Amino acid sequence: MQVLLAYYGGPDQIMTVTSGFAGVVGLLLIFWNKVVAAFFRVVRIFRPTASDPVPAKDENETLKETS
Amino acid sequence: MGLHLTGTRHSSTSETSSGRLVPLLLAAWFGIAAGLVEGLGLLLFQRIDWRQWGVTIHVSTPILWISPLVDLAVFLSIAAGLMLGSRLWRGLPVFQAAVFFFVSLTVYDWLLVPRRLYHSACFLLAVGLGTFLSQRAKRYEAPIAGPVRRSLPVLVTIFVAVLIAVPCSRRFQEHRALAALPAAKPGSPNVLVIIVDTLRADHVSAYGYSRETTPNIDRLAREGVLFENAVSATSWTFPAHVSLLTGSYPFEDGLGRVPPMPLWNGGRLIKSPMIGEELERRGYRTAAFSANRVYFDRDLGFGPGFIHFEDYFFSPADMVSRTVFGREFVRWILPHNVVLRLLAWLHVGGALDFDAERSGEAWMVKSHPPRKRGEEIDREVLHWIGNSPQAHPFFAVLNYFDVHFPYGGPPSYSKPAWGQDQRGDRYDDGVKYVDDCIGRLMAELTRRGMGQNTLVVIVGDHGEMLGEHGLTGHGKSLYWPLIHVPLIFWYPGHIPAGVRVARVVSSSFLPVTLSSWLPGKVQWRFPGDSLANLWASPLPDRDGTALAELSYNALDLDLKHEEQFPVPTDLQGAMRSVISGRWHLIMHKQLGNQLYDWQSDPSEAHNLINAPQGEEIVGKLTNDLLDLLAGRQMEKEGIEQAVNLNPNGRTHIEYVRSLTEPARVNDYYLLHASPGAAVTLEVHDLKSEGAGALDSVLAVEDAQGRILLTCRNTEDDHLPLPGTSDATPEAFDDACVNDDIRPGVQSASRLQVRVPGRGEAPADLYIRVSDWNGRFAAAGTSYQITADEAVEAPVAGTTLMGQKKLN
Repeated sequence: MQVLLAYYGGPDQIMTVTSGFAGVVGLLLIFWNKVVAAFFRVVRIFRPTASDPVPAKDENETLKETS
Repeated sequence: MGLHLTGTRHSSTSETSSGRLVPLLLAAWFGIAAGLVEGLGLLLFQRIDWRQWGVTIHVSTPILWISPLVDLAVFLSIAAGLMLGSRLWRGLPVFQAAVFFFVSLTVYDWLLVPRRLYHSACFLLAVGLGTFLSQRAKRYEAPIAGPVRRSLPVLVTIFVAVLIAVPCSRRFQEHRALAALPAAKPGSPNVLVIIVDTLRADHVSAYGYSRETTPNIDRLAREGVLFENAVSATSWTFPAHVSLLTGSYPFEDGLGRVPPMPLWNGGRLIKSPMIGEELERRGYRTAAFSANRVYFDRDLGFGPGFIHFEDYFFSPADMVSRTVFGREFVRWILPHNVVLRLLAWLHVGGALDFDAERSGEAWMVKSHPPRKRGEEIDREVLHWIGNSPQAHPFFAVLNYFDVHFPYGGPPSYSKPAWGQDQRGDRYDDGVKYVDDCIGRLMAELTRRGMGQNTLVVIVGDHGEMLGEHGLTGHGKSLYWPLIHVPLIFWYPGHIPAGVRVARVVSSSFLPVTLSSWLPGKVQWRFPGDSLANLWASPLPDRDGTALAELSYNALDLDLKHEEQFPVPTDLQGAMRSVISGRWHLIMHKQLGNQLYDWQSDPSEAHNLINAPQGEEIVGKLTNDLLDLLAGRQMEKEGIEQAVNLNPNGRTHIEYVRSLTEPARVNDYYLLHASPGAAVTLEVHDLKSEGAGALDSVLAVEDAQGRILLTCRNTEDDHLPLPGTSDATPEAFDDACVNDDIRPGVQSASRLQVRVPGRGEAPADLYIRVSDWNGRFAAAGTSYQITADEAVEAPVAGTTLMGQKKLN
């Protein structure tokens, strides 16, 4: 509540900041599905989970490990 | 036919006959909900934003039903469009589209109400939410539809209740007030006060203007009493109307600017009794009809003075243009060429007759409601008066706004025969248009048999600058064209005909004049002197004193963006002016004084503040002003408890004055000082800064009560132009009056005085401390006054005595 009051009672210059923030939120909502998909795509790149298929190892490397 | 929404997730509502009506139900639900919240929000935020009152579009309680009605119409139109679209394109996801549009528009609507986000941000956020929810609506169609179906009757009930209650409550209140009126005294005439907004006297032909701008007003002047030198109490609408209706000067009410407003109707904004209330107690039915809906309306505190008040919502276009979607329509759709051509083709160009009322640049809303013209004011007042005499005489106050900028009268008005090139030409068009309206109104009153029993008063609330001193518009300053207004009384057979009163009078004397002159027992003694005494026995001279004032304008954001004005204005500090039969002294809090001989120099082109003949006049007028601020006619005799505060001949003296009970500060101190001594005087409020602080004025007088002229104000000497420094900072050449030491610090004053006279015998100087606002200081208010001899010219024997008892 205090945040809301501060936002309302703040100087006019704060409108630029709050409007920018609101605009970004609006854009995120418009493209929400794409944003979520992109987010998980990025997450998967950096943190592969157990359910992700293990990439097939190179045949030569397998040979090296067994030798 | 009963309307149903299916309740299971397995059968799609859009496939049933009732399901096809889902968009309509959603439209009704969202339209009413959006409108009810919007109406409440517009009412609430215009009060929260009272500091920006002058740059916003205003509403009153009928917006509570107008907003839902407009929103309902918009949303139902969209729903109808969607349903039509679904017939043309069977694959159209109607439910999702409806959710998208209605959520987006509702959010957009609500976000615009507080005006704390740019339009583009509101649009993006609203579309974002609409998109987000509509994408999920497909899966939750039934869970959404159920609550909508169940709650819709409640919303409709609330809407209908508001639709009925708001207009009916006003009518009920009026009916009750009329029923409670006492019988008027026999012989009580009707009273019609016509306030022509922004009309300067010298553009009225009865006042000697070369163009015949006002043949109808001239006729009334010939048949009545004309005050040649009537002075408005200020130079802009709100405080001018307060003065015209209460008789108080703005400083007496503290209403120099729009006051803080309660969030809901609680208490009075205008504390002083209004003439309408006085006349109601004498059996008058009262009403006001305002075309200046920014500064003369019910919400701004004028309501208690009238049983009936017509300001906003005079037409459907005015109603719609004050809602959020109406404002957006005017802003985005109306200015397009196609729309303009269509309106011209339909002969409804009047829809583009926009008012000056608007949301300013600061709020990014460049929207305008339609202008309320004089013809509409005539129609309203004649409808209210009725065709036949009523049980009670009427008291009606009209505000014609057509002289006000933008000039020229309505677009359809046939322009008079003079040129149309100059600003003044178009200004005169508006004057002529208002005069036509007054002429038609008077003719209709005569036709209805009310011409002979109606007292008519014509007065301007303030004047207008048409380029003089590099200024246009009003407010800003107090030059003669801004405060010299027409004032005419007409009541054939009861008020003498053809009388012209030359004496300087204040238009704020109108309430006391009406109150004392009209039949009936005086209930409230309004301030000032009755003007009826002057038309009963006109005095040959102009002598008389009037006050005009202008508060510091820290509020009107749009003016802050204008370029620097070439003369001192209210944007730099508060101003007061005193007008006598010949002289006009303008005191500016930060930028010094100006003195004009308005009799021989009505355009006030020559500032006589430093002329030899002006010095004595400045002192006298300043004293008159301080006396007025101190409560009019203060006694100056008798020093009580004179205490020698400086028995040892110190060169630094301090004295603290504390008020034990509420009082107007108007204290005198006696200073014994040797001639030639340079003494620095300072006054500091010891308690607080801000609104409650003493806004001290320091003046030095001689034993005869004349303001001395041997002072130096390092801050405001010799009227430097804004942004320039004092040309003669070391010279002791000012009138010995000072207010603030520097802008923004109103609780301290400083003045250096060169003690006049010759020889060794100490001279007696009276140091006067008063409050610029003339208000009652609270008990416990205390300030410190100090006197210091200048180091370069020490003079032994300077003494500050105790305070002088007044009244």
